[in-house]
Amino acid sequence: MKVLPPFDFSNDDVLNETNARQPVVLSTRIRLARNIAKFPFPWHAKPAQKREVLHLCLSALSEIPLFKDTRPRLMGTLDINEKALLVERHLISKELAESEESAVLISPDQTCSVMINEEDHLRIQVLRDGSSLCGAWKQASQIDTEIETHIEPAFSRNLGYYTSCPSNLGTGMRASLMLHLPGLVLCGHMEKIIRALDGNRLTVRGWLGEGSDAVGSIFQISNQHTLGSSEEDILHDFSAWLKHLIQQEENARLCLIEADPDKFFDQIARAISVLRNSRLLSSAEAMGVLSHARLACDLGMFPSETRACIDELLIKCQPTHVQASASKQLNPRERDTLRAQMFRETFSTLPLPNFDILSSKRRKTREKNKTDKA
Amino acid sequence: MDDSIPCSICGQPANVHWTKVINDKVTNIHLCESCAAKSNEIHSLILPLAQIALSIIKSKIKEDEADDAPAKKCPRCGLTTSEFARIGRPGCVHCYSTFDEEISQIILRIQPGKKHKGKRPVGSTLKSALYEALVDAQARMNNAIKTENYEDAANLRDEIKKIEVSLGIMNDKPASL
Repeated sequence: MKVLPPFDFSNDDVLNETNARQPVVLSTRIRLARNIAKFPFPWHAKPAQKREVLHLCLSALSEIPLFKDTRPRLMGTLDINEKALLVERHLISKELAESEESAVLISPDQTCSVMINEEDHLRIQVLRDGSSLCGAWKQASQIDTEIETHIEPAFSRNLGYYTSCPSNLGTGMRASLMLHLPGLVLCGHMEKIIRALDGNRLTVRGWLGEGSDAVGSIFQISNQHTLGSSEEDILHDFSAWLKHLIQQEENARLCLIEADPDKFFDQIARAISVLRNSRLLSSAEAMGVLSHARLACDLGMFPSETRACIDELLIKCQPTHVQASASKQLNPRERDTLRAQMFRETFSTLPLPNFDILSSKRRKTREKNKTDKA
Repeated sequence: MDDSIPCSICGQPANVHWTKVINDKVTNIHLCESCAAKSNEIHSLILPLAQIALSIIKSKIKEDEADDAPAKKCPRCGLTTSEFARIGRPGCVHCYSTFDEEISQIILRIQPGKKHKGKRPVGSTLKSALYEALVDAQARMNNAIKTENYEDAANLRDEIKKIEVSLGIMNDKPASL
């Protein structure tokens, strides 16, 4: 894996389609909404019609190489925990988990999923680590084109792909980036940023989408509009904003360190101490301390391989994932105990953070700033 | 002309107004005090789209009631104007032509463009031309009904049926005027 030097979020590195774990950008998701003209949208369809849609879609998807050997997961046959696991992994939406006559197909590498009878008849989704708007779109579009040879999507020249909600008309595409913005949160700039993004057709949400909290300074940013611009144009504008946001986040981190280095490093040191020693850890607190650990990793205090481990823990610390690792049903307190134990075990195998790496880097940054000013 | 503009979320008289300029296009947002206070919270800066849609449909229904316009019903899925207003979304693809006027207003408020750019399904040209003919015929039929020109309306209904057959979305129930 490529080692990114601390503070060097040089735009090319971050915007490259590397598919690797990166600072700031946790993951990319592209979702396409498609419908079949002759059936009512899922919310208005009768169970028999939904069953027919399900059957049609499943038989079409079984022809597609990516899903050929994949067993469809019917929501009606999954228990509450199985569904919650898929939601926590962002492979299905909460809406799908609650829908009847609905199903999901997940590619073997868990990067592509197709939801049937969610808000729309078909929702194609591609997930990638790091920033990969273009790569994810290409793959989603390819799956869409393959499905289209079996099922014709409802489409008009004016309104584009017909969708259950007019907010998805046109491209039917929602591109989302999961961003880790602790610098902007700690500096208290997030509200300003959200307002600026909103004015530029981007929506900001929390970790699990609509209505969720921004725990662990993780935000999901997605395009608001789908009609009037092509997919490429939407993604191009989005990338430009991403570059800008990364720069802002980098500046915020620098400001925090320069303003009060002791306080900044104390927060990181305390977080690491919680990760290595705590006995009871709620999922919200876990997200908070992991956020600090990820920040430390971006600053070069941990080897960069640690980032993948931290990102994995962000998922594994979710309640259903903790439950899944236990052999019996746990109550919330037992989950907190097990979570703390899992963190202690993982972090005991990782090296201690190296606080010295920053002093030389900071000196260099200060010198660079002086030269820039001169 | 009504002096008090309704709140885009709850329909109460709005007293917070702001204008956004996006690509030289001006969007006006009107909110009542309590909705405006809520919309300033960190995660709800974006007005919920469905609620905007709902308020547009509700005000459109009021207008229609004032004009004595007949309530509409989608001939394909049976969604009525009042259901559309309650749920805030179309029931099927055909609803986009049945509730053409209402949906156009929603699109105007929540989307920056009116015309699709970007990917098209392969082999979509003929079908999309047919869909457009369908939307057009549907609009002309609604107009004919409004102006009580029932002969034209009946002809248009037949035309719509033909297009629906070509599109393979012919209704199993007779289309109701």
